[in-house]
Amino acid sequence: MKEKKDNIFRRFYYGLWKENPILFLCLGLCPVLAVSTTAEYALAMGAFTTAVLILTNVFVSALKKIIPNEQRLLGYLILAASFTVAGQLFLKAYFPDFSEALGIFVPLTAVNGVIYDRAERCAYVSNPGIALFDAIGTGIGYTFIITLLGAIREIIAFGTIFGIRLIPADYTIPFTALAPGACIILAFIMALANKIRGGHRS
Amino acid sequence: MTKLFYAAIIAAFVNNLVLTQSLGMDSFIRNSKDLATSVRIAVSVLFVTVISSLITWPIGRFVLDKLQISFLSTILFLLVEAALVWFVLYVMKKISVNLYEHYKELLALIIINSAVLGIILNNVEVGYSFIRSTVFSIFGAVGFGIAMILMAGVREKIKYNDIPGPFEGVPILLVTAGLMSIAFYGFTGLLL
Repeated sequence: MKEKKDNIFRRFYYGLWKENPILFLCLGLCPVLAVSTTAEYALAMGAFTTAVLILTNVFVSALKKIIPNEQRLLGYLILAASFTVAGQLFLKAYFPDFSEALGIFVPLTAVNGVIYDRAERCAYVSNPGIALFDAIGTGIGYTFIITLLGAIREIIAFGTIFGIRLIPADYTIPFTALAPGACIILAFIMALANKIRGGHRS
Repeated sequence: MTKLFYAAIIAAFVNNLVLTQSLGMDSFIRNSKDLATSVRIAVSVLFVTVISSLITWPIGRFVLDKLQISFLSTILFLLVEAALVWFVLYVMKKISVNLYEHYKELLALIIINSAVLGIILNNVEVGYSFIRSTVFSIFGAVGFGIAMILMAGVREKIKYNDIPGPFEGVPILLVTAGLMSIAFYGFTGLLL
């Protein structure tokens, strides 16, 4: 029992920091760079991705006996796409503003690399409980970094954070709201993480 | 005709998929290790995008819109893409084992490449005409290929540079991508 608990805790910690999908595995960068123009959108995208990730991971793990080994990518694909479509409809019904703002990146969650990485490396080889905690840890790690990036970009580009003004509008740098700003700021966040972890050369 | 030419230039350079819209960023960063692999990925993306766009446009327009089930487009288009890739792999295996070995790993990556799905979904959602959507798919994928090959070229140079410790690996690639992206914003001037 204790061993199991340790395993769950370790999964959580790995997803959150040690194997953080963005910082160290560099997966799912497409929505991270594209929709993190403001902290609010970034948080919404992170939460959406986490929801799809948890559902896909748990179902892959539960259905691992049914999914044939050679065609498992197809299995992940169908599960991830189904949950993405369900989530897309949910978002459209209850949060139309977010659905409008996130645009094409909502359906593109179906091809997010994080989901396939976790399904392949964890969910397909372990039981649903571990898969669930792995997905929660990874999802929170992903959401945290995307929100951090969104917050930094929003402060520099618009002078606000979650809509609260910190810097007067005259002293902002709108450049960071564009794609190059996202790349460069994410590079600095990654470099900082590499420094903190230390000795890591990927 | 001029309009199509403009559309092509916009798709390939001004709205470059990777550098200004961040689509397909995963394979752009992870798989651009050397020139040969990059060219292979660029060619496969071009092929898969164009063929699957030719298939999915009629499906989107005549089936999904007619039956008002366009919310299923994501899952259906992904399956079309996957089927296409598996068909290509099957044909390749029959023709030449050597070719198959080279492309086996890559084509699976193409399915979960957000650039391909992004182009196909965009074609249907924006409501382009058939010719316009074909031009957009061809030149969108060409834009992806250009970015990929440029990145591979830069990466081969970066190898010999002295980079600050924490920036080694992916961070320096992201900085490079950012600078390339600034350069690509310069193409906006073409439209003026």
